[in-house]
Amino acid sequence: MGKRVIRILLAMFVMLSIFWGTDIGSGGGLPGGRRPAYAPGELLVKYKPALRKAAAEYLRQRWGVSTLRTFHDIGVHHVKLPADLAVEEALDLYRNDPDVEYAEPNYYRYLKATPNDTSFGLLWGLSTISAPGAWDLRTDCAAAVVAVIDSGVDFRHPDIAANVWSNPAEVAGDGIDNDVNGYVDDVMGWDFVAGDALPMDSNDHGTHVAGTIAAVGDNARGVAGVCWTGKLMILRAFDAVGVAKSSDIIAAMAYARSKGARVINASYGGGDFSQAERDEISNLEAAAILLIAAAGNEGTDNDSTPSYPASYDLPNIIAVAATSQDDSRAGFSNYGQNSVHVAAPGTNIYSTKPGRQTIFSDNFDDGSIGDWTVQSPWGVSTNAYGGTGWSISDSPGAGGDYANNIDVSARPTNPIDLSGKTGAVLTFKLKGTILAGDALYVETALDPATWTPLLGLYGDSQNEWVDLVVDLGNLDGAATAYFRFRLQTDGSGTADGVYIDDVAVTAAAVQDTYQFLQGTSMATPHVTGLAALVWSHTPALTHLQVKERILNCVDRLTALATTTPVLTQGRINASNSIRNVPAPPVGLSATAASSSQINLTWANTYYGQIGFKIERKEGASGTFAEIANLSTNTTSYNDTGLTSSTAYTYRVRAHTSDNDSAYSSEVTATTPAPSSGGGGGGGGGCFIDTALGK
Amino acid sequence: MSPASRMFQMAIFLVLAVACAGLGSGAGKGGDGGIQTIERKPGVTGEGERRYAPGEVLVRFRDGTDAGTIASIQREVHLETVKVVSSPNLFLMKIVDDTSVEETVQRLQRYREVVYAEPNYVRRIQ
Repeated sequence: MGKRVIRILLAMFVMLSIFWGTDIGSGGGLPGGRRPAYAPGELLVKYKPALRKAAAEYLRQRWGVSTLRTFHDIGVHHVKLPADLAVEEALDLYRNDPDVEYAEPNYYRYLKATPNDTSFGLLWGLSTISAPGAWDLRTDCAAAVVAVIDSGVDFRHPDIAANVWSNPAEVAGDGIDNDVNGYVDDVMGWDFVAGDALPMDSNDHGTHVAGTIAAVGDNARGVAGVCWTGKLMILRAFDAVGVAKSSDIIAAMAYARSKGARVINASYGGGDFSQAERDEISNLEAAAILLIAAAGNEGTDNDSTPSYPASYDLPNIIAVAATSQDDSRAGFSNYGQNSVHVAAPGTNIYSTKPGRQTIFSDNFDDGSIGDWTVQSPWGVSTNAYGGTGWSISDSPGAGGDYANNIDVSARPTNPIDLSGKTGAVLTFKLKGTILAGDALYVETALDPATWTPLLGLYGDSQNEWVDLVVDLGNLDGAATAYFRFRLQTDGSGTADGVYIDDVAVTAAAVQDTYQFLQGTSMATPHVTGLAALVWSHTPALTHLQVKERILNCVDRLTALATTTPVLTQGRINASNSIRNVPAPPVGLSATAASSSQINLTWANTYYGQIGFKIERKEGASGTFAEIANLSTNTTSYNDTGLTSSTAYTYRVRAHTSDNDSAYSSEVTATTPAPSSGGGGGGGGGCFIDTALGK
Repeated sequence: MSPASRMFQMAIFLVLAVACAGLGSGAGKGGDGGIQTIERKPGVTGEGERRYAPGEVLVRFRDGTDAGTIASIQREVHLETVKVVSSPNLFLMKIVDDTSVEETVQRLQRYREVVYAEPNYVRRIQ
């Protein structure tokens, strides 16, 4: 019984080879993350039945080919080639031999490539977009540099560091602008917020995004990106609280353009149209650079309420919505039939998290501020976060308001040592009320005689504790750094003041940490990684052909078809994109226009170059035959010269230069009987173009 | 404890280190034109209302506008160049008096040499 099972498996193996053989390109061990397609020095050969034994003997003698095994059930010989006969040469010999029915390489079959990263099982998004199918062909994206314009990236993270771009024209740490681009020692990108060469992430967002694009794959650690290897150019334009000015974003885009990025990840947005930002993205278009942009997290329609940069009407932009694990649209995700192009996974996305170490912390729960230098009336209060313990307040005590016309501060007495540190951030919790005209400032200093305000606030937190984050990037590297809270009031009235708790200063550290996040920000890097993967696999593609691959090869989802649609009605499919297998047409309908004409229409869901093959059958018992092969991206076809009073059934396939799609659903229409008299009058109406009409 | 005369929302204004250099201790009091810097936190009212950086404008001059012309426009509109954002002629400028961003943008657009001027809008991570 065991023997029989083995034989069936072997037979299946050969059959699979026959069916799938042509899908795989030529060549043995290929560089760049490819795996060999077939075994060197071996063939599978089937001789014509009467000749098997004789032919095998002849070939053995003539070319030194030996038979390793014979699969008698299917008449196939597994042969070993001599060392001086290459697989391609041997194939030619065999295929020219009239006694050979077929000959083919002994193809390798791979289990769908899954990396050994320890948390790969959590990456539902990569499975859903069929990344393993794409990885059968390529895992390396180094040929397409990806710029991440974000809150920086933890470039020392053990699951990212190896995939950080290195500026070939800059020497690290020599204090010289070697490539004369205006940025000194910009070896991995630039920090446009702090104005230095260390674009460390002090928010978490950029590191998460970068990990989805290109966390190191198959390194037995953490997660894998869409790209297992690649080059991430790190451009920090967003501060610790996740806000950027368009001036910094534009400068970052110009940097990416000048330094050879092919794809830019833009996991951010805003509602205001900026002509300057649009101009720079036009420059990117001229430089054939793709900008992959988050559609936005307002749950609204970008066609009516734009979100920029996703909504600029420029060809090099791909706007990305977010889907969840059941392939529904994530509730927060924006959409737009015209202005949002595809969706990608954006909930419960697990990726890299920057390492952080605590430099200073105080939750005041010892009830003491002996190690703080405070001006009266700053002191401890039992109005603490979490309801127990202590906080500090500018006016502690029951019902205590702050006074008019005061200027009082509180600070840790000892300096904080940030030497050798980057990405420093002050976090604290705050609640309370401060009147307009009064303000609480957060100030920093290198010397407690000279203070610089970084933040000022007033208002009413509605009795809620608010998390505050202050970017201390200006203190990075300082051996003695100070911060303080300072209340200044005018004479126009008083209020309860503020309570501050859980004060901490943290800085970047090397740690192997990860976290779940969600957002169209998390969907976007799936598409960015795919663009880099497709481009690296097929470098001859133009940037708009890469966009076609991504938009036209989606999996259609009903959730993206009607009330909250995107242009392609689809979520990306990496395996189909890298193979250029288009999605089938949807929304096919057939309408009899006359007794001799039926008009077909289908939904406008494709981008750029795509063609369509129309098949028709007549009556219930007919067979489908192709009646037209359209080479343009259209949404209609008029079938003329038909017989009256006849039912015709149609189906349509899309086709790229490489592959046909699956068939659309079938539709049937019946031509009416010829009208009695005046038939010519209807003739003109036959050619009304039903395409779109909008 | 006096209730707020208006129902203030928690409004926070960021005082950038650069922008702050010349400001006295009373700077920013009242917070008019202030900007939100609250971390994205569901349920915090007032979040997300800040649309652009205070006191800054982006200006694109026509190709070939000479430095002298740009300098005289800056003087007339009370601006200083922070930096050239992208060559050749997109400038980030700082308003050196208390003119509002909106008013400054309008004034700039009256010049023939100015292709456009706009606030330095903010974007947020999604």
